[in-house]
Amino acid sequence: MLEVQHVQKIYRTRFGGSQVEALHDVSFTVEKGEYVAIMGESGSGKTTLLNILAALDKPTSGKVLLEGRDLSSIRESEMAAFRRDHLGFVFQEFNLLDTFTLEDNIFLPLVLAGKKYEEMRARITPVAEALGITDLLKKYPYEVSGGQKQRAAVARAIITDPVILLADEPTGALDSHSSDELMGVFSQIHRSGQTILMVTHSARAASRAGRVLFIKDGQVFSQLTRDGDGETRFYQRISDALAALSAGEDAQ
Amino acid sequence: MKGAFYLRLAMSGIRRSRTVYLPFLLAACGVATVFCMLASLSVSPALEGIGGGRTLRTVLSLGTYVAGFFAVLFLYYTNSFLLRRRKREFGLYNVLGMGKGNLGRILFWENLLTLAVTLLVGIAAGTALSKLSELGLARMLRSQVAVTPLPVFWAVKATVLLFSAVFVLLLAVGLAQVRLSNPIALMRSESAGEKPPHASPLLAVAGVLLLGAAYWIAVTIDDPIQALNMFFVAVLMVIAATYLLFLTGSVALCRLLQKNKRLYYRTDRFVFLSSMTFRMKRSGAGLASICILSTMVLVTLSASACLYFGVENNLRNSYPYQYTMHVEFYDAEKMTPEAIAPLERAVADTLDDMGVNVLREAKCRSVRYPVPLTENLLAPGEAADSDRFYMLRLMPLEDYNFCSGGQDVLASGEILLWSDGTTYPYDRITLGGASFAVCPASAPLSQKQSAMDNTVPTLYLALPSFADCLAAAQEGLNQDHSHVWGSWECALDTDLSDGDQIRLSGAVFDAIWPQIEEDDGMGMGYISRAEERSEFHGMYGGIFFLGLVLSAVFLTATVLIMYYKQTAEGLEDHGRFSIMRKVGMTREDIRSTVNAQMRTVFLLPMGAAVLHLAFAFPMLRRMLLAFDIDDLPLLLTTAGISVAAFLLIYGLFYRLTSNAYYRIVSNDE
Repeated sequence: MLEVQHVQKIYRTRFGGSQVEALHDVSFTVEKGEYVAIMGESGSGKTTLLNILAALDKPTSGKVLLEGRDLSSIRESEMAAFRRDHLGFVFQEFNLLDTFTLEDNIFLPLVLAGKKYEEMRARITPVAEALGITDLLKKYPYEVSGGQKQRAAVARAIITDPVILLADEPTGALDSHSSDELMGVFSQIHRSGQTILMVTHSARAASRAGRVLFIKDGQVFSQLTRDGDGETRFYQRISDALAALSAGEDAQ
Repeated sequence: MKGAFYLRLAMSGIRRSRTVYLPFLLAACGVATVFCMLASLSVSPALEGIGGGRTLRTVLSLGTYVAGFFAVLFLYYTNSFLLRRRKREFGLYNVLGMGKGNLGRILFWENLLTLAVTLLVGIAAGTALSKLSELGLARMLRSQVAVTPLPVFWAVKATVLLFSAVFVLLLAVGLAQVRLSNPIALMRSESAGEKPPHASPLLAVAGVLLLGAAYWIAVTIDDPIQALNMFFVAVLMVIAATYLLFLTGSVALCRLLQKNKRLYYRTDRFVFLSSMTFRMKRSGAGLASICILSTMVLVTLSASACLYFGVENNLRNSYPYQYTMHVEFYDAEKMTPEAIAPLERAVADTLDDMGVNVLREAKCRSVRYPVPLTENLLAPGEAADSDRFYMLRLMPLEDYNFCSGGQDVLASGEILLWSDGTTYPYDRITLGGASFAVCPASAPLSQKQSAMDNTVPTLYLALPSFADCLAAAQEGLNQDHSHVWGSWECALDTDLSDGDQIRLSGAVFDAIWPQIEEDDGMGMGYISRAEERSEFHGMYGGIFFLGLVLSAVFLTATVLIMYYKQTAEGLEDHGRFSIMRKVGMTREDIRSTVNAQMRTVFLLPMGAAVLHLAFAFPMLRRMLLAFDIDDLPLLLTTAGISVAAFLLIYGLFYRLTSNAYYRIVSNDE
């Protein structure tokens, strides 16, 4: 469903001096209903990759296809609407608007899409219930905890029924308890059929996914699939793979 | 060495935050320029020689105080914007190990640099502008003045003192802020989470009541003198109400709109309405200030323009003829044809000598005395005895018709009556023992003799001949000859220029004065419209000019506040808009949201200002009446032009600043 083909991304400094290659020939696919985690150290190109998948940035070469449609073929003017209708985002820093109540924050993409109020109401009820934030809807972001904010952000991401949910370090700003809770929420929406792609450097968070891609120096270094392992077992394998990843670095 | 280090830090600090610093510097220079300019003008020797120069200088020095007061408020306001932006940088320095004392030194150098630039630019530009203004003023007042290009010492001293004091205050505020906060708070002060505003319905209601009361005062006041006093009370009430309403009323209104879900959750309103609600409480003060300054511009401009352009109408109303001269006989019986003939000849000779072309003239003999009114009997007596008291002016019908241009006739036993605003409630008049039937005049008198006639209720009566007039006044003559005056008037319109008219009035005076100089029983007076005009222009021209200058100052302030508002809010909203872009807001959505927001924020203070002006109108009219100007169409015209011109300039600047806002919020970096 999501196909990433030979994506390369080169950053140039403003006056055309030096070049930095953030991504070097990245290819992989994500099937419908899959839950994929991308891991890698800081500076490995994770965020660049996610920005390209989110169509917030364009690859220097290569293609990204979502449901067979080339993201680079979408015109700039339609891009925002495309993102709104097909993609859901969860950010590390929540990115909730402090001028809105949680409810209004969740409504935002629907309002931008011009949906009717009745439809918005009908959609928010099950989502809020599933995420356990029904009682918090009238509150402002500053009044709730980080975990609650992130759950509201997840609600905002999935209320449009996106083709794929993209998450950038969703547990990065949360304590371990809230992180576990949030990962429970992710598993839950995954079970309901949502395709998820999550960037993280927490092995614990990644161990909830069905497949883990490791990125290093702008390339897919290796990948692990759960293959029916339990969380603890999978977590162990991920930790080992990470150790191998840094060891490989030391070996160089 | 160390000083130089802090100086360098201060300079680089200024450079780095130039987007907010530059407008502040411009604002300070602008205010200093205006202050220095007004101060120089208020002591300008160039004004001394011209008519009304003294009045003008009083008005100008009043303006200087207003400008000085405004400078303090305004710089304080803009500086607090600046400080909010600078706190982050100070927080960083603090974290890097710079003590608060060191930060104080940076602040000190910054303020000193700003002060130096402000004084330099302000004094130079202010002096230059004041010299230009002297030339402009002289043109406007139609007089010749000598303009020297040197700065005025007093003005320079006042500017230096005032602005040094202001910057000491700003420095103190900055130091207090730095001292009171810890480094983390300093660094985060920009991104601190904020509570959503709570509209206090009580305050909103208080605002509405206050505004209603102020409007009620403005609309219901009748007495011009009272209007002048109550105006300031009403102004204070309106200012308070405006702040209250902008701060709380608008939040309450937005909240109310948000309650209607179907209206609220729409692409074009959603973001805009909620950020408006959120922002209103903070930016309410800015909006209210814009509104009040705009109102000041509009009121100042329309009233002073009306005053200036109303002068001519006013002169024509008060003095229907270019030149009016009257010779008084303190005993009416001495006003015989033989006594009048040499006067007539003197006037005619003077006109001949000067070769004057007379376009219109009026000559009139009359007998005049004060009477209290008792029933329909008009008998001379002590004026103080009665609260209804008239001046009677009796003239021969022939003279009345000559002056009115009418062709009234009287049957025997009839008396012709005309009055200007004074009502006579009976249909008969008893004079000198005889009773007359009142017959209203068909045409009004074209000239009234003196200012006296405008202030004392006067009845103009005509009888067939001058002898009849004397007979009617006989009762008074019997009592005391000095109660009944005879008056010979002569009024002229010529084709002369203002200067020649003044020369003519002098020449006529010179011709007549020797004839009556020696006589205790006679006196004379004259009014030349041209002379009055130059005096009026001195006063009202100065007021108008000052109105223009003050409007320019208020406008500059409005624009600067607007710029600050937009920049500060843009920087604040940048994060919000970038989130919304990630969530799927298109550029068009941003544009339309920004536009809707701008439109409202643009129209809100303007609408309120125009509303204030509309309600100030009845009061303005009354106040102008105190200056003898009663010309509603003119006031409407000047107000209309002021509003249109202001909207145009304000709109232009709004466009510029909102573009700046859009650039800031849509910037990706």
